Amino acid sequence: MTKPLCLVTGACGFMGTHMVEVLVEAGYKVRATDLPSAYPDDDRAAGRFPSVLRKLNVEFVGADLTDPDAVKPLVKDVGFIFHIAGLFNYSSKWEAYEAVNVGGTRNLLDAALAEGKLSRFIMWGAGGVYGLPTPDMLPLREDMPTNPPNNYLKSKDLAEKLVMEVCEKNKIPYAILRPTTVYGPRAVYGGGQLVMGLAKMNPLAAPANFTGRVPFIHVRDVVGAALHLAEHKGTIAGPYNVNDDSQMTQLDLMRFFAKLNGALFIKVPPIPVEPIKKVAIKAAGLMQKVMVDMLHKKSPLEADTIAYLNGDFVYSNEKLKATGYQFIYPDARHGLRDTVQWYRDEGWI
Amino acid sequence: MTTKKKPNAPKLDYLALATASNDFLDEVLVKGVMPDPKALAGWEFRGFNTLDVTLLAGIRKFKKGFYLDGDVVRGYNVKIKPGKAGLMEPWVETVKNGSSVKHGWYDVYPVRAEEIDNLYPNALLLNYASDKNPKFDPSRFLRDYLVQVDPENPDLLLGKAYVALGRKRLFVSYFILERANPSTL
Repeated sequence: MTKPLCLVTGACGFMGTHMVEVLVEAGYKVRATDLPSAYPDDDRAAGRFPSVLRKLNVEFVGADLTDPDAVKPLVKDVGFIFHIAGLFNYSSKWEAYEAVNVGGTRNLLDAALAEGKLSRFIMWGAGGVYGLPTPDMLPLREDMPTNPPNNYLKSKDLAEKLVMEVCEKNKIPYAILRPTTVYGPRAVYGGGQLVMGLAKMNPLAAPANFTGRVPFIHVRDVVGAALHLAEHKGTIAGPYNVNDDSQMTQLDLMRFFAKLNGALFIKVPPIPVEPIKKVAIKAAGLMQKVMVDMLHKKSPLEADTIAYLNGDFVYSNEKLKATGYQFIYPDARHGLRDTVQWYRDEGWI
Repeated sequence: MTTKKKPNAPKLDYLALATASNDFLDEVLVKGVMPDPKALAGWEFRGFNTLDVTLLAGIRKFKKGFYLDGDVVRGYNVKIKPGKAGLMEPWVETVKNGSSVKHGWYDVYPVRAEEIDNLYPNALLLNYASDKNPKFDPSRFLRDYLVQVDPENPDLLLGKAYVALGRKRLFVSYFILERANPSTL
């Protein structure tokens, strides 16, 4: 049987390039799309790597998903859609999140349904939609209510609900991936910042009360899970947490990087986390105002990122495992080591 | 990298052991099997002490060698340059007069129930109270237990080092060994 044509949105980005690589490796024909401005050259700061797509010789169609007319040519003859594109940071305005993350998803679904060939829709949600968990919520499961704590996550939550409604109404098998802290080669933002930062530190220190667990998932497991769900013969529906089995505490993580780096690890006495967080969130909020509103630049410090400090995040991955998915990196330590090696080999650190 | 699927079970390899907690390593040690001493002879293993203080002492990384002395297996330690102590860095030997620096000699034998060093009956004992060490060499106080982590894999070993002070035994560090190269003795 001929494999369906796959559309990958956000294809020039960190996860998009990995998704395209995995699909090509699996023998699929791929149409890649991203903003036309993302395609000409690699831009590491912006997290865009179109050279990966060129090497794979896949079809690229530039489009802005917020423009319904631009979306129509993307979905021609497309059977599987891997919808990764989104505005991902904590510094944009609500209108921008809504237009890209919700409006873009709606345009894509409308066009694909009109085309009539869609057989799977795999959407990138976000592991953060549950909100900052309290101990009684752990482990976070897909059947729990969402409580997105910021505008980025609110837009992802809305987009998830839109996909559920439209796909269920039209009987399109679909899956919403809720990846946690995604790391891996080419990661620049989020998990990438964290790994690159830790890989350069010497000494490493952490307060004794930093026992909150950090959720991790390697990018190859995110895209591997996406392909697995798209190909799954059984029923797929709703959200899927995409998180490995590690459950490393922040202390474990620091200790791990100390051993990896050959650095000294210093466990310092406990600190009052909540008051420090409050001050840091205020400071980051101010910095964001100056950087974003006045200088129109992305802030290096974001209040919503600090809110995660010492949070205890444990995600159930049983729903994904029940479909038969086998993790490439069930233990983040192996994936983190390989990623650090990649950053070193490529001269990023 | 490939998307080749592996089982969901965690992989118990060098990295996982070297970065594991003491509680976890103790479980692994108890479940381990006794390595065949003859299969160790003729090889050097790259070693990593898990105790953080060993980094400051410049002995985080080392090599352990094993050799046959008649019918008996004995061993030695090889000094590693202390500068590159990370797990991702190569084990670079300290060289003097054209050969690696060997020290900390020990006898290798299965743990004997009748002796004081019998905490782990499933282990080999590396006993540093060897005449090959100088009389006042502090390494003479060391006693290491050594097990094979996986019965199917003779190349990965877990050790637990103690200092012998009279009849007292003080825990020092766990260490991980992985077969690296033929003995340079």
